[in-house]
This record gives sequence, structure tokens and C-alpha cells, in this order.
Amino acid sequence: MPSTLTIPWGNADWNAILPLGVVALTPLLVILADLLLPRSLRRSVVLALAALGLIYAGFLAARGWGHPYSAFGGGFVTGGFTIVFQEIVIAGALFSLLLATHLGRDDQAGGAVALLLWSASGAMLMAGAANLMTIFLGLELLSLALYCLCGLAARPSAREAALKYLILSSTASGFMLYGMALLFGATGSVQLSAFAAPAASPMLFTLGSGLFLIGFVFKLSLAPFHIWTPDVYEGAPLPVTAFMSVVTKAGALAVLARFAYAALPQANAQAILVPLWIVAALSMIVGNVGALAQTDVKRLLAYSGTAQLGYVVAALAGTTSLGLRYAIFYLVAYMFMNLGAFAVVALLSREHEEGSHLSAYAGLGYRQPVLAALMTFFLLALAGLPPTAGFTGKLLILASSVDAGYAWLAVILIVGTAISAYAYLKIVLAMYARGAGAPLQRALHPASALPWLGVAICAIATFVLTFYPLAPSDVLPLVK
Amino acid sequence: MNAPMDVDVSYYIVLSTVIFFIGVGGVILRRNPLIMLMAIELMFNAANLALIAFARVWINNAGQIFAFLVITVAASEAAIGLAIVVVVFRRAKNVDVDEVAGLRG
Amino acid sequence: MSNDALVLLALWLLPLASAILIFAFGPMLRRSAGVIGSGAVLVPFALTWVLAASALGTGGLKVHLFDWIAGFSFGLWLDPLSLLWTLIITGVGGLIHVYAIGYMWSDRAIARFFAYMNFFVFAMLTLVLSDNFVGLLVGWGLVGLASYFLIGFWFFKPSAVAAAMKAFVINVVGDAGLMFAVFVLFAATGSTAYADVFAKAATLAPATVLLACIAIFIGCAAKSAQIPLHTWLPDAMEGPTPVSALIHAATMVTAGVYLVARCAPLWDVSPEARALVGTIGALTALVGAILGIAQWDIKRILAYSTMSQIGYMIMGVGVGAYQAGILHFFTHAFFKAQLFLAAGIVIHALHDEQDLRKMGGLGKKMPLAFWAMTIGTLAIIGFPPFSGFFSKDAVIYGALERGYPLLSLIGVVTAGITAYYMCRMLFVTFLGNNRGNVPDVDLGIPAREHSEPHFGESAPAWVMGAPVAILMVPSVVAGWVVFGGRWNALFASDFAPKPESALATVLPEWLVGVVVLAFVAWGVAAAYHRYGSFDATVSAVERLRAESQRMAQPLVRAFYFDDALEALFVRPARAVGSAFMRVVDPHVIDGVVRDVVWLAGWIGREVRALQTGLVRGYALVLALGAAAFLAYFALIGASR
Repeated sequence: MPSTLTIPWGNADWNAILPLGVVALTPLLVILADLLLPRSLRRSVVLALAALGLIYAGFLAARGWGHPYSAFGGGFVTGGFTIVFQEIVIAGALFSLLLATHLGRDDQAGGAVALLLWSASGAMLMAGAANLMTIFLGLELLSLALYCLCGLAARPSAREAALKYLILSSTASGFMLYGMALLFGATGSVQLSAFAAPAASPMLFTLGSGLFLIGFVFKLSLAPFHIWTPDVYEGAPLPVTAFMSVVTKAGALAVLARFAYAALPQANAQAILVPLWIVAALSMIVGNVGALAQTDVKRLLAYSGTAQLGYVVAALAGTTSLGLRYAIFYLVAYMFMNLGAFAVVALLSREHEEGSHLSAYAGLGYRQPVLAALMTFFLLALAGLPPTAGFTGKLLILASSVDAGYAWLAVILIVGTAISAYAYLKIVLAMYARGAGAPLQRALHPASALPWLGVAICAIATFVLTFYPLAPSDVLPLVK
Repeated sequence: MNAPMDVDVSYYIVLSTVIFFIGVGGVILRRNPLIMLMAIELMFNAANLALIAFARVWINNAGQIFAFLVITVAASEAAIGLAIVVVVFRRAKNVDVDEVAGLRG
Repeated sequence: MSNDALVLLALWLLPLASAILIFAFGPMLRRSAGVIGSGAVLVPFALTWVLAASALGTGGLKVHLFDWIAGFSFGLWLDPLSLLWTLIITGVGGLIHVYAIGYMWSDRAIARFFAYMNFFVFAMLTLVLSDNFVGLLVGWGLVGLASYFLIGFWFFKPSAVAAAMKAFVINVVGDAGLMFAVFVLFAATGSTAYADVFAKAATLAPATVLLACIAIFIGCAAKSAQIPLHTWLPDAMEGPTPVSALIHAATMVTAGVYLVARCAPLWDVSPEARALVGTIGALTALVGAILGIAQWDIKRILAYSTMSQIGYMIMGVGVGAYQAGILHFFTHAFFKAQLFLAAGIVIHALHDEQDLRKMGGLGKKMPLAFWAMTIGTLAIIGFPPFSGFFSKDAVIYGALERGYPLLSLIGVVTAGITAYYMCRMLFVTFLGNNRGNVPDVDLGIPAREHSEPHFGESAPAWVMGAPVAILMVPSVVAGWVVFGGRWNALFASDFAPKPESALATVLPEWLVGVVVLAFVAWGVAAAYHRYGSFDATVSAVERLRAESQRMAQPLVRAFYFDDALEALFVRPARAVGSAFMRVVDPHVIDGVVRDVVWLAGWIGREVRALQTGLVRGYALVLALGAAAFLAYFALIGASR
């Protein structure tokens, strides 16, 4: 028992979570601005404040590059790996803000943006979380804010999405939490770093790992745990869907990768991870096949997301260092091509109607040639055709999974890719088909300058990344 | 410390497992979202019980701290959950999740 | 960078630049787009000649462009093989561009058309000039994409959209195969550059090489319309005729031949792969020729003849007679382009009528088309001294020389059938009396929709005539390059010398040539007897009706390839399609569902059906998944 109370945290501990703190505190300013400003100014000021906060946090996080540090007694580590994922989260959140020009009513904007930032801060916490408690805290912070965000649109489907997400995601959290309890029971520690030693009870440890993985496989919407995704994506407001499709995935992937690479006992690490590769394979098939039959672009992107995350996880197969780098590269590529597609959907949206139904795309190639061409580009990227980052990323993943001795995953990836081409092509065809059914003559949303910015950045990034597969090389040593 | 170890820890674990599966069953079988939320609380609390029992085994109070953390988070989860349920079923007479199935396919 | 390197870069990028330019300024350019587009292909043709000397030097001309990541560097490589392809792509392609100015004269979307055409040429050049597999793959994919745009150019025709989809789908299957091959090779050798991979070819495990070869060949089969991935080719005739000429003669379908020849070091170490490719080539040649007999559509006949001739080329390069296969590609490019362009003149003059039975007696009305078609036919059936004679003979004898007598025999029989169906087309189109005014019923033509003739002013006749006239010359003389052994010497650095075979000493080349000629003569005579003789032309209407009504079913149904694919994959998928029929454009549905080889269509419906919308159902799926997880973990936990 310590007789005197000393504060065990040094300055460095606070510095480590500073980027996270900025993202978590900016919402206070946002809410204040929302309260004080006249309605006409509210939305723009709120968005600007949030964007500034995120950019500042991104800058702070980048400053930590090359300075690995383990804060709060090993609860939160920072350094290359954490920073990469934090930057991905920040970028994903920023892009979602670009689409948030009609998220909720004007008087809801402040609250919505605040929730979005809190959710992002949860994902940033997950990026660096290195013990079970911080992981749980990050995950719940991310999820709780998202439950509310899902229900923000003024239509029944949004409320339905919120309810479904709440119940299913909480159930998955329950599985994960029980897994955490078992892991603690097996090892006597909540630190991931302590797991590498042989567990006192291997049975408890493997069962615990299984339950723990379920929670993250659910968040990554890998089949068959993807089942909630299409409904929730379709019902949730567009910016929230975009946010979920990237930020949630980045957070969950960070934890999963840290667990797979740094926390498993060498003896049976590969055996414990086998189900992960199986769900990745299932996702590539189920996601792409499911996408075939969709007529709503958001739903289609939900299925597509399942497949894309399947590719990302497949890259980790065999837990090679190259695999992790390629997974990160593909995640970044996925972020750009996926958010690009979402930004196009945002541009086609109107006040009370999101432009996600396939009919909104009929003849788009003739009404909005530039937009249609860009959408085609994003879809080709998602399908993995050259010259896009999606192609490069898939090639790298193929190479790494074969290198690691998982050729069967590579074969399934190729099959999945071939199937996916039709799903994506359906939208392309709709855009360039002329004839039956007078196309809806809809003008672009007047407040659409911001999504255009998103579309442009995503298109450039998707193209440029084809040729410069930037996979941060010193990520791996910092996982532990 | 010579705290009485009247009950073997394994009984706690068995109890917590039973509670956990009652929770899982509740989510799958019940149609009332409020009961489903309660079932989820059961899953969480099963984990709490296990955490505390294991903390006792390992003489490591991280498990107890974790349990407090879970209780706090579960409380906010319940608050948000109730709010969402109220919003969804504001206009409905019965509270039944099977009625909430507009999104499908 | 040396001057040569800059020239190579320029000739590669010029078509792309022109495509972008035309696409951007299309509405302003209108017909001048055709001139720009043609120039952007013909100038590279001239530039290629400039580079010929350095390409033929040791190692060819190499230009390193950029390093991608470790093991992936991108560059261009002009060696004798790629030089030949570049010359054909730009030369024959350029002539087709010029012809297309006339053909598309009154089409409102002429600018878009030339943008696509130039893009197609660029894609094809990328494929051919790349010095590594990744560049090849990029070109390979872009060619498929460009062909999709071009075949579906007349998107108001549902059949064109469906055909484009089908071509694209089958191409994607091929792309996937090739992608797999590239990455098997990368995994085995650690590089994607041709030079590195081929240097290590002999040291690789035979199974790896065989796997890579088979995967490569899946790509080749899809692109080059080899059995059983050939079904897109006849349907692809829905595009404008210049597109057919470009795809069939100069570019896309010969990509497979190029790739097999390019990967010769791999085939050299894998006899099994060699036998497989040779056999499929020979069978394709035979099946294509047989199917050509049963067609009434002039372009479909040419399509099947392409399939058959590509079969010869694949057989040639497959068995290891690379020079012979390439020679056949070289001669075929000229005479097939000429046949298509001549057919285009006929079709254009008859306002998009493509049915042979509605033609007849056109020889006097269109002397240029008649003579072009005649020379083309003589060349394709291998009549000496026309170009096809030398190349076809070389392929057949090459197979014999390398110990594949059975394949040679198939080649000989096919030559006879080729002579028959090509002469049938020639005679029915040009001899006898014109049947344009005979009612369809009398000719045995089932009720059909007539495509709308497009009106509008026509281009000056020379725009379409000149390329056809120019092509006549190489159609006749291209085969003469074999004299003096210069052809084989040209590629001596690329390919291993041919082995001596016992059979080759027994059967000298001239004897094989005579046998082939005998079969050809029989084919011509049979066709003349049925379609060309005075008796036949007098009673043409009755004979054609009788033949239309008594056509053997397996031939009419193209040996049931499409039906098999339909029954296996498409019919189940159609059920899904009807569900969103109301929502999407019906053309799209036709394209996506009816004619697409949609492997997973019905599973799509099954997956969808799981998605009931019920929260509890989802929770159940979650729990079942979790149970499966737990079962596994309990198992491995217990096993420790």
C-alpha cells in the first residue's frame, strides 16, 4: 500500500495523448459556438472549428513520429504504428465533415459534429491502446457516439439503423468484453505485452482470444459478422456512413493488428488467427456477391466495404511485417476510393433525400460528365482495376499473402475481385446507359462545394497512390 | 492477508458463464428491445463478475478497476440505448423489434 | 535519355494525348477528330520505322521509365517481337482509322469514337511495349476496357450493350488468370521484369512453370477467343465495322499470340503447357471453321474465321514454331483487315444490311469491294502465292516438325473447311443476282427487327476506298518475307532453335504444302458447286431458303457453348435480375443479367435473402458465428 499519494504521470504521458485530447476537447468549443452563434452562421463555423481541431491534432500526432513512448503504465503507446492509424482516423473524420453539409437540421449540426469528433477520439484511443481497458474504453467511446449519430436523419430508417446498430454492436461488445475477462483470467494481466508469455491456462486464453476477436471482426464487418452493416449503412445519414466505413474500421484494425502481431504467444499464434483468415476469405466472397444484387449505392458500398476489409485482413495473414505494411497501404487506398464514392453520393443528395438510389445515377454520364467520370474512376479503383491505388494495393496483398504461404487466400481474393467487377460496373452502366425511364433531372445541391473538394482530393490521391505505394517502413518495430 | 476463501473461484466463473449465456439467449430470443438491452447488461455484468473473480485469483486489482470501468460504460450505454428505443417506438403501441424491419435485402 | 528513347516515348504516348485532346474538345472538332485521330496513329507508325534499326540490334531498345517499388520497375522495350506488333498496330490500325473517318462520317458521336479508338491503340501499345509483367497487365486491362467502350459504342442497340458486357466479362476472367500468373511468377522469381523472370525460367520448379503457363494461357484464351472463352467474339460484331477490323485484325485478339511468344522461355521448359496450348489452338481453329459454315451474317463469318485463324497462330506459337505463328499473325493482320473493311463497304452501301441472303450480285456494283474481298479470301484460304499460303503452311509444317502430327492434321483439315466457308461467303455475296428485294420469307430468314438505316451525307468514296486498296498489296506479298530465311533470322535472338524431328525428315515441307493445297482445292470446288456455279446462282433463292431451314442445329447453336454457359450460370442469375428490372434501365439488365456469365448470381439472391431486416435474426447469425469461433478455439485450446 503506498503511504503517500504521488501522481505517477509525467509530462510525456500527457503529450502522448495530446492529439487525442485535442480531438476530444474540440467538441466543447463546437457546442459553445453552436449555442452562441446565430443560426445562419452555425453550420459553417461549427464545421470550420471541427476541421481546425482535427488538423491541429493531425499536426500534433505527426510530431510524435520517431518518438515511441509507452504512456500510463503501458496503457497507451505512441510511435509509428499508432500515429499512422491516428492520421488515418483524422483524415477519415475530416472527409466525413466535408460531406456533412446536411447532417441533421441546422440546430442539430453542433451536436452532430461534436459526437462525430468524440467518436473519432475513441478510434484514436484504439489506435494506441495497449491494454484491455484502454481498448475497451476506446471502442465504447467510438460506438456510443455512433449509436446516436446513426439516428440523426429525420426518417424512420435512420432510427431503425440506430436501434439495430445499438443492439447488435452492444452484443458484440459483450462477447468481446467477456473475452477480455477470460484473457485476464488466463494471464493475470490486462497488458497486451504480458500475453506473449505462455498463459497459465491455455484453454482460457484461446477461448478468450476467440471472443475478443469476435468484437473486432464485428466492427470490421467481416462475414458473417457483417450482417448488420448494409442496414445500418443504408439507414444512417450519409456523412455518418462514410465515417463508419473508414474510422471505425481503422480503429478496429489497429487493435486487431496489435493483438495479432504483438500480443500472441509465439507457440500457437497462427492457430489462434486462423479463423480471422477464414472470415477474411468469407468476406471477400460474401461481400462481393452481396453487392451484386444491390440497388442502393450506400448498401452496395456496405457490402463492398465488407469485401474490402476482407482484403485488408487477408494481407495480415501469416503476420509478416510486409503484410502489415500492405494492409495499411490498402486501408489508406480504401479510404480514398471509398470516401470518394461517398462524396459523389453526397453531391447527388438533396435536402431530404440522399442520392444513393441507383435511379439517381441513370444517365448521369450525360448530365454530369465530370462527376460520372470520377465516380467511374472510384468504382474501378474499388474493383481493383489499373491505374488506381486499388490495383496496386491488391497486387501487394496478393504478393504478401502468397509469400506468407496463404496462396488459397490469394485465389479467393482473385475470385472475389472478378465478382466485384460486375457489382461496381452496374453503377457505371447505369450512369452511361441512355434510354428507358426519363432520367431524373436533378441539379446538384447548392451547398455542394465541400463534397467537391472531397471528390477532388480522393481522386488525386487514388491515382497518385497507384504509383507511390507509401507503406511506412518503420511501423512494425513500434507495434509492441 | 487471510481473507476467507470460502467459495472456490471456479464457481464464480461457472456462474458468470451461465449469466453470460442467459444474456446471449435473451438477445436472440426476446422481441422487446428493452429486454434485449437488459440481456446485454447481463453479458456485461457476467464479464464483471469474471473480472473480479480473476482479480482475486491473481491478486491483481486491475480486474476490479476494469469492472468499475465497465459499470460506468454500461451505464452510459443504457442511457443512450433507452433514448434510442424511446425515439424509435414513440409512435408505436407495442415495443417489438420485429416491427422494426424496414431495411432489408 | 537518348533520342531513340524519346522517340519511343513519343510514339507510345501520342495516341493517349490525342485521345484526351479529342475527348476534351470533341464537340468542337467533329469530323476533324478523325483526321487528328488517324494522324496520332500514323505518325507513330512512321516513328517506329525510325527505331527499327536500334530495335533489331542486340537486346533491342530499352527505356527505363521509373522505379515503382522494389522488384517493380517500369520501362519500355522494343525488340524484334514488339517492333513487329507495334508496326502492325500503328500501320494497319492507322489505315483502319482513316477508313473509319468515312464509315463514321454521319455519326454524331464521331469525336467520341476516335477518342476511344486512339485510347485503344494506346492500350495496345502499352501491352506490347512494356518490359515487365505489370505494365503488360495494365495494358491488358486497358485493352479490355477500351474494347468494352467500342463494342458498346452504339449503346442504343440493346444487343450491342449485351455484347459489350459479354466481352468485358470474359476479359475480366482472363485478366484474373493473368494477374494470378504474374504473381505466381513474382513469388517464384522475385521480379516482374521479363528479363529477370525469363533468366530464371529454367531453374524454376516444373509445377510452378506449368501453373504460371496455364494461368497466362487463361488470359490469352480470353483475349484471343480460344475455346471455351471464345463466345464473346462473334457477338462483339455489334460494334461499328472499323472496330471489328481493329479488334480482330490488328490488335486485341492477337495479344494472346504475342504473350505466348513473349513468354517463350517459359513454354520452352514446360512440355505439358506446350501440348495444352497447341491442342487448344488447333481445336479452336477447327471449331471456328466449322461454325463459320453455318453463318449468314457476313461479319459473323469473318468473326469465326478470325477465331479459327487465331487458333492457327496459337497452335503455332504453342507448339514452339514461334516464327510460324508470328508470321501468320503478320499476314493475317493485312488480309483480315482488308476483309473487314471490304465487308464494311458492302454493309455501309446496303444501309447496315449484314445478311448474306439479302445480298448477291454485288460484284458488278462494287468492284472495289469485290476485288478486295476476293484477294482477302484467296489470302486467308492459303492460295499460292498469296500471303496466307506461306504462313499457314509454316504453322502446319511447324507443328509436324516439333512432333505434333495430329495437330498438323487438324490444321490441314481446317484449311479445307476454311476454303469452303470463305468461298461460300464470297460467292453468295457477290455472284448471281441481287436478292435485296426478295422478301425475307422467301429466303428463309426468320422474322427479325431491321436496324434503322442511318441517313446523312456520305464521305468521299476514296476515304474508305484508299485504305482497302492499300491493304491489297501486303495481302498478296506479305508472305514473301519467308524467302531466303530472313524471317526466321529476324527473331533468332528471341527463340530457341527448332529441334529436329523424325517426321520432318520423312515428310518434306513441299509435300505438306501440296496436301494442304489439295484440301483447299476441294473446299473451293465444293463451295463453287453449291454456291458459285451457274446452276447454283440461278436457283439461289430456293437453295438459300432450303439451307436456312435445314441447317444442322449444333451448328446454328454454335456447338451449344453459349447454351451451356446459359444453363450453368445465367439462367439462375436471371431470377435475380427480374427483381430489380423495374428499377434499372432495361438495357443494363439485359446486359448484366441475360448474357453475362454471372457465376455467382444465384448466390447473390441467397445472401440477400439472409438479410431479412429482423434484428433478432441478425443477432442469431452473430451468435452462430460466435459459436463457430468458440468451437474452434475450444478445440485448439484443448489440443495444447
